[in-house]
Amino acid sequence: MNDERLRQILRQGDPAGGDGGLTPDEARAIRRAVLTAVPERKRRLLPIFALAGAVATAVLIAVLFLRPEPARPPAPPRIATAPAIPAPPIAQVPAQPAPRPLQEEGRGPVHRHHHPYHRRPVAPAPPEVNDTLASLATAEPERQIQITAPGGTRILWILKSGKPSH
Amino acid sequence: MTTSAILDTTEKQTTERLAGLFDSHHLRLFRLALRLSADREEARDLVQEAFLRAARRPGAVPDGAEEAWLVRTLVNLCRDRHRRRDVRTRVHASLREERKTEHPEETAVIRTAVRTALSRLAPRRRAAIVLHELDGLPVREVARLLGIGEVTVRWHLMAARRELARLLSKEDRR
Repeated sequence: MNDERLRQILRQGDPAGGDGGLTPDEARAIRRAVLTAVPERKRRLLPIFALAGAVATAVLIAVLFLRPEPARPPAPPRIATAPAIPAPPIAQVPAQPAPRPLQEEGRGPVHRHHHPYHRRPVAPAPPEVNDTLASLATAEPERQIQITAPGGTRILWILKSGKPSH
Repeated sequence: MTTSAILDTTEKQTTERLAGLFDSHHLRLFRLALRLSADREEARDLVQEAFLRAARRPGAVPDGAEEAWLVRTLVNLCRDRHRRRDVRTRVHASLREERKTEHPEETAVIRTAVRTALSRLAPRRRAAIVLHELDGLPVREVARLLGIGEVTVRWHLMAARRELARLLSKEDRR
């Protein structure tokens, strides 16, 4: 069977050949079914759209409020960046300060590293009279004694051999 | 404009578009469905289902290529049905019954034979041969409607002709 003969048979036996198509009633019924399917779909989807919008809004708000701050570089040591605080004016001490009595008794030197930001007036220990007198006994011809009062006042005694001082 | 007003407008536009699609294409689609399906009832179901798919997803129907979309949907629906049940057996049985009751005119016999032979073809191949040989569309148009390449259409046509010739020769001998 060649192609031409096949084509002839197909056209003769066309399944749609004797059919006039959909009847008006059939067409109307299908058309109605198709067109009524549209609003049904929209009504069904409306709550879904509303829910999706609410969820999106909630997520947006959560993201805005809970957003982590951008990572900042580690702060340099505060001691390096802090502005220098001027030290309270103090009386000039002569170049050769007298050794403190406490150090003479063999105690280790007290190292106090006060941070510039946390510099507070430290209440000094009350002058130790006995120690001071003991030091006087072995004093050299001229010595100085400093006493700092709790209010920050400093008292400087200059002791000279054989002379009373103030 | 409120949301419901926008939806109403969209809905109205969609409905009008679908109505236009139906009025323009339902006759041709039904004719194609008749050639692709086993009987008239099935053809009507296929046409309705194709348009319902357009109604459910109006955004999927591309502007300017509505006919191709509908034809492809119809062919896919035929293929789905073909896979779901043994159409061939059912058609064959019904055709044998038809033969007993039908007036043995030559046209009716040939029509039955052609329908039987077409039902043996795979849906896409059947669509290609029907669109080309019975609708008289050129290969390029068949390719566009089915969404496949022209080479593929030619290959389907060649295979379909060979298969139909074999089947119809067998029917002739009965």
